[in-house]
Amino acid sequence: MGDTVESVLNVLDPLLPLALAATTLAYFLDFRDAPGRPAWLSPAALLVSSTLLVLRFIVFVWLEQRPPLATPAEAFSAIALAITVVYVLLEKLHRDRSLGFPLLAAATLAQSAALFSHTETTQVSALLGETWFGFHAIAAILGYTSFAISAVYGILFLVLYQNLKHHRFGAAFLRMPSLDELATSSMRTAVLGFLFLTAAIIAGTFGWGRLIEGPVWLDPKVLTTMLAWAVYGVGVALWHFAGWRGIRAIGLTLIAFLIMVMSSWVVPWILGSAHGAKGLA
Amino acid sequence: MQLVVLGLNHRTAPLETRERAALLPDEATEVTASLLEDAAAAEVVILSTCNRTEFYTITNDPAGVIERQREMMRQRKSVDLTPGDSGYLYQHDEAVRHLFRVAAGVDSMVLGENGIVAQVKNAFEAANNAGAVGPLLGKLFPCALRVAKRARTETEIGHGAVSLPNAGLTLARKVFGALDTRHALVIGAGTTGTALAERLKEIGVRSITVANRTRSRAEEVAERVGGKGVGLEDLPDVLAECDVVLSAVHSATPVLTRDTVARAMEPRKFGRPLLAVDLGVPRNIDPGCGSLEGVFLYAVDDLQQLVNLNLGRRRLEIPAVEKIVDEECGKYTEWRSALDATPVLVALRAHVEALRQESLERFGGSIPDSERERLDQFSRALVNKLLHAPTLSVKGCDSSTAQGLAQLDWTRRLFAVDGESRDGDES
Repeated sequence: MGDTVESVLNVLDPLLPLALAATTLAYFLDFRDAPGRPAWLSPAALLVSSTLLVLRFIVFVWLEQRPPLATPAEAFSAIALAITVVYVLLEKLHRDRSLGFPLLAAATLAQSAALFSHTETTQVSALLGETWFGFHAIAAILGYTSFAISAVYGILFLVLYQNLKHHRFGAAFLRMPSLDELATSSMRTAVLGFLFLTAAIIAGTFGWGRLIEGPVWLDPKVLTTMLAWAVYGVGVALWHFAGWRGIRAIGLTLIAFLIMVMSSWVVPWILGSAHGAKGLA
Repeated sequence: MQLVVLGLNHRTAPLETRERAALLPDEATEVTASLLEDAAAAEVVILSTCNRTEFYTITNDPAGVIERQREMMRQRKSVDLTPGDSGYLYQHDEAVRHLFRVAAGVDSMVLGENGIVAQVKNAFEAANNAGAVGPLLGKLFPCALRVAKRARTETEIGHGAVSLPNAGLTLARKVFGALDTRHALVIGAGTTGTALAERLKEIGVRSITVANRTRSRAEEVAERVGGKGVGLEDLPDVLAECDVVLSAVHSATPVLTRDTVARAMEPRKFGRPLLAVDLGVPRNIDPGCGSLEGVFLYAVDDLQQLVNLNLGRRRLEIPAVEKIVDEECGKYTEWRSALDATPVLVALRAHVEALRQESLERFGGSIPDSERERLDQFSRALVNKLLHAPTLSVKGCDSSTAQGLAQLDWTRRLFAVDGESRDGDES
């Protein structure tokens, strides 16, 4: 049975980049408004790609009894899955297709990187076998991916805002959705990210608390991540309940994103952290 | 029967001449009847708009019809349609191409404008109702409307705002997306203001407020569009609720100052933007408003910049549109040629078959039946081979040209057949 399952993985691994590339192409044709394209093409392609990605994830977890995070190839594949899942949620819940082409292109690149960086797994941290960690890590990846997409929308908002303010009618003006749509999309993905990160924090509090000495909240990385989470929380609350709109709301989410980036790379590097790669060693 | 187009447009005649030449619908019907009465014209469609007046005529006597139409316009309208002077003349396939280009919008004053499609359609329907349309124009004008549709769906010739008010609405959509949940304020209840209010109603904005120096006039326009009318003194109060402001009044000083707009933005300090489109000259809205957070201010020059950009993009679509025009011209020409070629071919085949049968009877009487059958096969094969080249030649004649018509005529005379064009029949 294990051989059969492994065979499924061996088939899916090279197939996935092709499926994602075909989906990206379908969305590119939509983006260019190419004549003669069938309306069912891009939804069908997305369904096939996302189904194959989820199938691969399930098969891998079943086979290896851990999430796919031990090697760079596994991490790339997880990122491709996260991007696709977040995009599917955006499209299905909010009918938002504005970033379909670039996001699916990014997922294609990530999955292709997974294929070409594949190596035999020699050593796997015991932590990966812990259920809470798997849940925490996947939720965190989904959260960070959502925040990254939210930041992309936010940056596009700022670009278009400046173009409109200064009466520039170039490519940004012609090709981008409206300011309102960009802001709404940014906030919607920020909400998704907030929910995923909340789940990751809850699972992480439970798990890390058992592993490291001292209060987990005082860890520099955890502290800055919590700060980012709080700023995002304030931002989405102000959007939904206080009517914050436009450049102020977007500005707040971009500040939160910067804090998030710092918590992921800068803070652990400067101040050190018991969280993250150290824990996986 | 030939197609002839005589007319004038914005390129060949100044506005005063075009104004005189314009034929109102009733006039056009009268002129159409008059042209058909003297039998020089078999079919007529008159296309008369603010930028062109054209006669599309099917006739056996092009020179006579042209002179008749010129004389009629001189007498009725004091307009001289001399080709090369105020007017122009197209015949045969050039006339077909001209109509297709007109319908596609590439011959319009505003490149790619959509209004011409309805005008062509209305002109055709009016002529049809007057009994002035036969099989040729009855095929030509629907083809022209198909060209118009293809040009607008397969290219971007009609995309992008090319008028200042529409440029303002484009900007509104770029800021807010859909406008059905937005509140609009129109300052000015004159011609432009009224047109803006009506356009906003067409778009379906959530509410329209019309402000004018004279409140009663504002209320009158507002009532027409299902909105609210206010005086200019109420502007500070209504501005806070509005998302889009379109201003078109004659005023020496701004009706919206920076302070007024800044106060209106106070309750919206958490970021709800305001788009202000100033169509007034001198400007109605203080230019300093553009520096306020969340305020997007556009004056006439900015809108013109956007219009010029869109016109430039439309110009890039001309080659693609011309390609569609070429394709449809080819299809129409092929249809027209078949209409003229088929009777000639049928007559030729019938004539030659009659000669073959007559020869078989005359020279095959004493031959045994088996030999007679072989003789029949031989003569049939010989006739087919001999007629193959002439058949291809006749099918290839372009009857929309004088040369094509002459070739068909020569074929009829060469083989002594009738085969007159069945213009009244579909091939």
